[in-house]
Amino acid sequence: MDRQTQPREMVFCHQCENEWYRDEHGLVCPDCESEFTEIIEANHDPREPEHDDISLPQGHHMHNHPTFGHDPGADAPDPDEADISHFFSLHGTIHRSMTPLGGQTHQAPQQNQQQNRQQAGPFGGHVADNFFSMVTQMMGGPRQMPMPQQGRPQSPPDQPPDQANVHVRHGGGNGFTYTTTLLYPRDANHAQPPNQPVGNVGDLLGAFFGGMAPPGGAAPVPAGHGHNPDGLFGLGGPFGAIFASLMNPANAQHGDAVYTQEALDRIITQLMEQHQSGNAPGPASAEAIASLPKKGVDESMLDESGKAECSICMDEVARGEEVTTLPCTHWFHFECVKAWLSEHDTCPQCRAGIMPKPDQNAHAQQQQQQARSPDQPPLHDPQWGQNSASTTTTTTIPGTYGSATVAHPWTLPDSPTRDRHPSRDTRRTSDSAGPSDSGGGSLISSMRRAFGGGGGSGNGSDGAGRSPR
Amino acid sequence: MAGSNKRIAKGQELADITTNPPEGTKVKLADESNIFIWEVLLDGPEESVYAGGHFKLKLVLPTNYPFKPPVLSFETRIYHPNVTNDDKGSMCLGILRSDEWKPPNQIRAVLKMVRDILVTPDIDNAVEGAIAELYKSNRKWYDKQAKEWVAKYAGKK
Repeated sequence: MDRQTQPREMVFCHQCENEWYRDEHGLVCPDCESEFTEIIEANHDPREPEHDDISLPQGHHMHNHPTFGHDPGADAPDPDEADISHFFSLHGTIHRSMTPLGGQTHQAPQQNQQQNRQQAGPFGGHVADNFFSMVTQMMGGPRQMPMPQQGRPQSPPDQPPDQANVHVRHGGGNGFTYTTTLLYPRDANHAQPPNQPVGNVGDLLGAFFGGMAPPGGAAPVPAGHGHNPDGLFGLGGPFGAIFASLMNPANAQHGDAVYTQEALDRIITQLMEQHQSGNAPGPASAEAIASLPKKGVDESMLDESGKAECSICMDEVARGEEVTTLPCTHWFHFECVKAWLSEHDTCPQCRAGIMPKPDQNAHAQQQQQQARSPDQPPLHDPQWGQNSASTTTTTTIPGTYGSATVAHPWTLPDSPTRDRHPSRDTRRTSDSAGPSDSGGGSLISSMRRAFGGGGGSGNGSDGAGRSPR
Repeated sequence: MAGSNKRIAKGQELADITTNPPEGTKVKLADESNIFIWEVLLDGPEESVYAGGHFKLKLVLPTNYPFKPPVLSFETRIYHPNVTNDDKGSMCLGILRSDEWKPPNQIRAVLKMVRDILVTPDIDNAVEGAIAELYKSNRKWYDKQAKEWVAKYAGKK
């Protein structure tokens, strides 16, 4: 079909965008008298830069021109008239689908993609190339001629009009399939052999979505499935899988990709929960909780008005009532603090843990020493430990909260017990009055000295080093 | 959990806070039959851009309070980096986060904290990034916007 030999040539004015017939007004614009004009050719239409790749049959520009009524029969006595009319019905609708191929080509059912699969290596290695070739194509740069396709017979030149509207072009790179619903080659500046039409646009879309689906996400698509009539919208097809997952928010997540806000929210929530659990200490063990020392409320625990309350339940405690003391000297009802500790190994008040942390002993001890209060006896006071004062039930070693009370490693069987004063003030009084222990075996004593003080000074520095209740 | 529900049921905290509320606040039960949902009326602090506004907040105590933090939300809309800019009015307040909450915390302290962040927003923990940005970059415009919202939503009743 020869569209270049239409009876009348049209001229376009670049100055005022006027159009006229050459045989009526010549080459100079009748409106603005500009000579910057151009004869409109079928494959180079200056009037439609946005469709610069669409080559329109000359006579049919009148179709859109207000001056000239639409009379295709009169203007274009073309044997391909039906074909052209069909084209006009598609005017302005360009479908371009790009199919990234490579690692996921096993899901691409389209035959010309099978060809691409052979050409394309692993996806990752060709991403840059593919992108470059895509850009090159868009810029109108050099491109490869279409490849002959496998498995599909060459379409006869007198193909039906509906197929003639679709062309598939392989880009300079290997990874992209270019489809345009065009009647003519897109590249008007370069001669091209007849392109292969694609019989079924659905195949392309299927391939597109099939290629999009991450591995393992959508239902597996059998090779060659594109010719399955159910393939596109059936449940097994790539579309079906995608839509199914879109419709079901619980599944709208494939690896790192999410398709719905809900799925995104869920991932964020999950991350936050993970972060939180990674940040906060876990629960204290039941043994550690059970072995926390208990004592009666005494004078020292009451405030100025002679009252005290468990800060968890805010119940007032009476003098003599039994409360549980944490290594940090904060005290609570046993039931109250148990409920908290069995979820968080922190003091409800100051966040100090009660669980032993063996690998941090040395470090903790250093801190304890730095935190010693000035009114404590020197670390290696030879007098230390000789004069006994009060009694204790448990001896806590600095840095070994809980475990010391469990195992009693530093408590001498024959040594009098010493009270652990939960209130800082009282404790300091007793400390400054002279730390107390009857000493016992010399080995234990020397070890205590080596560690910078046993229960007495340990408790003292403990209290001084932590925030008061 | 002996102490937990006792603390709510006893109502001491509620009684204490209703009879002797923190400055600029009024607290009552939203529904007399439900001791877990409190209604808080908060006056915009004088020194803040929310001055003159009256904000209604909802405070929901979890059943295992005080082992879990209460949930506080603005029922009156407010233009603030730490309050979600929607009809939920959810708040981001450090001590209300579950990993920062401590049982000894009291509602009184929570309400005081709310007033404090009305005076000085906690930009680092903003839930409305755009408002936080504006607060940092164009304080004047932020002030103007916040005041407009006060007039629009939190006007005197």
